[in-house]
Amino acid sequence: MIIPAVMLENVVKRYPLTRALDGVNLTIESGKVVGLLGHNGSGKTTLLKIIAGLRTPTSGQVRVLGMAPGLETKKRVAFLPEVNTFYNWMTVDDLLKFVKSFHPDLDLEKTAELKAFMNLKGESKIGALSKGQQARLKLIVGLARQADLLLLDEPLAGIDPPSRAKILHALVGELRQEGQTVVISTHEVKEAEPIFDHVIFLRQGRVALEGEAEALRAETGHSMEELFGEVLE
Amino acid sequence: MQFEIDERQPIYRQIVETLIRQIARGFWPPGGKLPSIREVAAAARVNPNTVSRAFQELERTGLVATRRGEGTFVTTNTQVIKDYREKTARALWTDFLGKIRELGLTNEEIQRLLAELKEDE
Repeated sequence: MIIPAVMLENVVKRYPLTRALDGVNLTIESGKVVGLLGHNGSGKTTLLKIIAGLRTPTSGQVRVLGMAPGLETKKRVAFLPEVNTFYNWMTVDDLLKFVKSFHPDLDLEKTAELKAFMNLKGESKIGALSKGQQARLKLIVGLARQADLLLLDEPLAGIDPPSRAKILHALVGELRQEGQTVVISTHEVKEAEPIFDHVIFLRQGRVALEGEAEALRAETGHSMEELFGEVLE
Repeated sequence: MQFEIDERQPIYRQIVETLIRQIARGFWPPGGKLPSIREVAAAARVNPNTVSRAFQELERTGLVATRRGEGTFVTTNTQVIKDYREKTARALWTDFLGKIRELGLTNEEIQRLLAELKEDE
């Protein structure tokens, strides 16, 4: 039996004033490209952080690559936050060396290939990069790690629309490692939907609908973009 | 190689249908090599997993076969292609006839209209 990449059982996350996740049950099969879809505040980021082991749920069970989230899973999971956490005074190459120092699995050969693909120069100062270039840099860091599970929180934010499709396509095509599971949170459903194997619609901290994208198309005659409007309004 | 994808319908099925049409028309000739899963995924801008599923489906029709490490090839059995072409045409024809009959046309009238059909119509 293949172990699912992620299993959540009745996961609740309460913050002092809000309930970010309100009983989430979920299984993500290994090797799939999964769309985590929802409006701002629906709980997408909290869910990704729990899977990444950066937050602990208030209650419920979490299994990542068959284990409880911890040091062992963190070595095999790459999480790319939406907010930028890089130091502006570093150059692109400084940053990659810096990341390599605490993530030894970072593949420097692959970062060179990725820099070329993303049109980024190693000597550029991070502070001087545009928002779109910083988003590309973040993707380089995530994609160059040999992670079994890649979690991307709104990776398209800041990237110009014509480049989005190209980057998304490369993300599930030549840039993805064999068998890697990828979870992408986004509300840009139109551009991203052709790459999803599986979609999860999140609404107010609950799974409003989930399933295999192709099965949902066959059952409803709707695109994922149309379902997004229907399920989440 | 071009793929028009309608996101409201299963994508793998549209890829299967497109490839069958192209094989029937001889765009991919008998014994010829099909593009790889990655090439089709890039052309259609979809997930390679989806294309892989389409290829499995296509193999089930007998129109293509995958040789390990070499790629996917169109069958050299032209009879299989011919049968599939006619089967597809018959399915389209049945669908079309149903709509025509809803107009109340008799077989004679349908045949007369067909006989008047020009090659470029």
